[in-house]
Amino acid sequence: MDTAPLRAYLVDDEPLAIERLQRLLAAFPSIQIAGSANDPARAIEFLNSDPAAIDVLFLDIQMPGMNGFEMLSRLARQPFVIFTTAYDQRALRAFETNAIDYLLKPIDTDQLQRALGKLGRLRPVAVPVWQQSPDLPAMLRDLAASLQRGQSGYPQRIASRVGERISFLPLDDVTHFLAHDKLTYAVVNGKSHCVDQTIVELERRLDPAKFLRIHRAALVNVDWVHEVNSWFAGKVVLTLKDAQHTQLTVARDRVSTVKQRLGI
Amino acid sequence: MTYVPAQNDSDLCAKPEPTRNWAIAFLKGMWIVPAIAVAVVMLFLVFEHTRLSDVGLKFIASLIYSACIGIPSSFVLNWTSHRYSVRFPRLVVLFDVASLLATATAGTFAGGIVLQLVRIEPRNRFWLEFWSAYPIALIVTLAFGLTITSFETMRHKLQSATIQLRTRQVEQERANKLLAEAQLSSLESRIHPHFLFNTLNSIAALIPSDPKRAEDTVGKLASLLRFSLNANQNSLVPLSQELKIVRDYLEIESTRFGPRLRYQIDVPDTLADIKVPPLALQTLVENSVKHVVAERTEGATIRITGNRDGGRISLKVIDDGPGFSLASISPEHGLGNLSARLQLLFGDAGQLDVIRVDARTVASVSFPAES
Repeated sequence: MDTAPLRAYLVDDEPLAIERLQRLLAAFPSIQIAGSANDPARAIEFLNSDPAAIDVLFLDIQMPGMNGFEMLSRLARQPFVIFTTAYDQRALRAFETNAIDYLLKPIDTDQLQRALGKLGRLRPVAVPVWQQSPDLPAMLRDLAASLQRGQSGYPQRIASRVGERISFLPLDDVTHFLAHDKLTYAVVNGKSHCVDQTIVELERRLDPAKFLRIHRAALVNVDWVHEVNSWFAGKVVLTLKDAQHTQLTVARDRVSTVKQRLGI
Repeated sequence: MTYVPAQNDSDLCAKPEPTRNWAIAFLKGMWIVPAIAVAVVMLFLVFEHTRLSDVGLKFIASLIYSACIGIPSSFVLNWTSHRYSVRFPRLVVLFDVASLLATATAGTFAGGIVLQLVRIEPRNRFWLEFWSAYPIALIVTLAFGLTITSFETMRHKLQSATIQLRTRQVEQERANKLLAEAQLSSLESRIHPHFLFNTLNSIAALIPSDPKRAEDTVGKLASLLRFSLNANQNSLVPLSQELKIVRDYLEIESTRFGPRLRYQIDVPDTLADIKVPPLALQTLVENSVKHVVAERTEGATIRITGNRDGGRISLKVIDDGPGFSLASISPEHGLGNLSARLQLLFGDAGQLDVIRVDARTVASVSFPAES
């Protein structure tokens, strides 16, 4: 039976977090700390210079420059990874769905013991199933991107910039978005406010139950639709509830989707 | 980016065609013409004891009369109710009666001519036929016309009442939802789990190596949490209190980030007693720490300034980070929440600005000084 200690490498941007994990791991004779890094770029350099030098990687999720998933995707060889995070609901959801090992900071000794126990049974160290998947690079890229997208759920407000001033418009008040001359405007009570996203980005980002694409250049808030008028030759025009009774034409190829969504 | 209002865009906006809608309504109403013809034939059968062999002829005659009267009546009724029912809700009944009488007269006359043309009635009996058909035509037209009109009016009233009720329900629901969201987001923005757990982790790391500092950090965390929980979103606090919280926060974060976080507070003591919205400056500082210090290996230097210019207070947080795009900040928390709060407290007099000056990001809040 192989009794050589497992070589561990720790990556966390906070020096105190590394210090504490080192101290906790010192209590386990089966673990030998091979090194640590505060900077993910430095860690990649070290790990790629000698891919066989370590057995297990303790990896933080939120770090400057790149997050833990991105760092892992850049490694030449996958070591057994145990993620550490203080609080990140998106990452936790990803861990649960993919059966990924993780520790919550501040790390509890029992929790650590359980994780290391599982690792000890896997000698000679094999990486977990999710790290052996051929889709791993794509999966890590998706995970990294999903963390960068920020908050989960649909936004309730949208930032708009007028000159140097940023204002936030409640999306409930936005009757529709219009694209015009390569700029996108959120229209609130007949007033247009410039926003940074394109119509396509907005359609992807906003609650689809609320914002409906009716035109190449228009996204309408269904709560503000007052009536739907069908004209000759299948042309459909929406009238909004705003004071101006704004009318928007539905693109021919979107008519059926729009009618279905508005329940007609 | 310049501000260009998107208006009068002929491609996207269109004028309605009102004629189209009531033309459809008019056509839909045409089932009434044969129905009236049948009803009139029944009347003849019952009251004039018409022979059964004459029924076919009577039906054709009635059909011609009801078409001659019914089509224009329906047309005129649609038009009057469309034009006048909103403007003159009471007078519209008089309009209806008058137009029904007119169409009945003209229709009977036209019907008589048609009957002569198709040789159902001999030519010399035109006026005889007219005077015998006229009273029946008047009674039937008024009876059917007014019944249908009042029925349609009732239906419209009911429909608009339903729509109003539904609109009110939707608005009520929206108000409830907004309230719940505001409460939830204010709770979330007061206790940031990510910050809380990381700080607990720092404290756990400090306990054996630097117990004094661990103890200090616990104290600072406690005062920050207490301030956050007590902060009433709608009242103001002295700037000195807000600055103490900002300092506590920065010291806690320094423990975590070490030399990556450098800061400097340049607020004159004369401003200590001015009233500021709680957690406003704190939100700006937190934004810089989250988006610049935590995101960059080299960290950042944060400078906090405050000044009073006449009746306005301006608090600034300046960092040497690369700036951030609107898309990267979450409008749900932090700045978005702050912007909504300033609007609530000061209306348009409260401003949140983010600008780039000399390769620095300057985030500032300004609002009227309380006398």
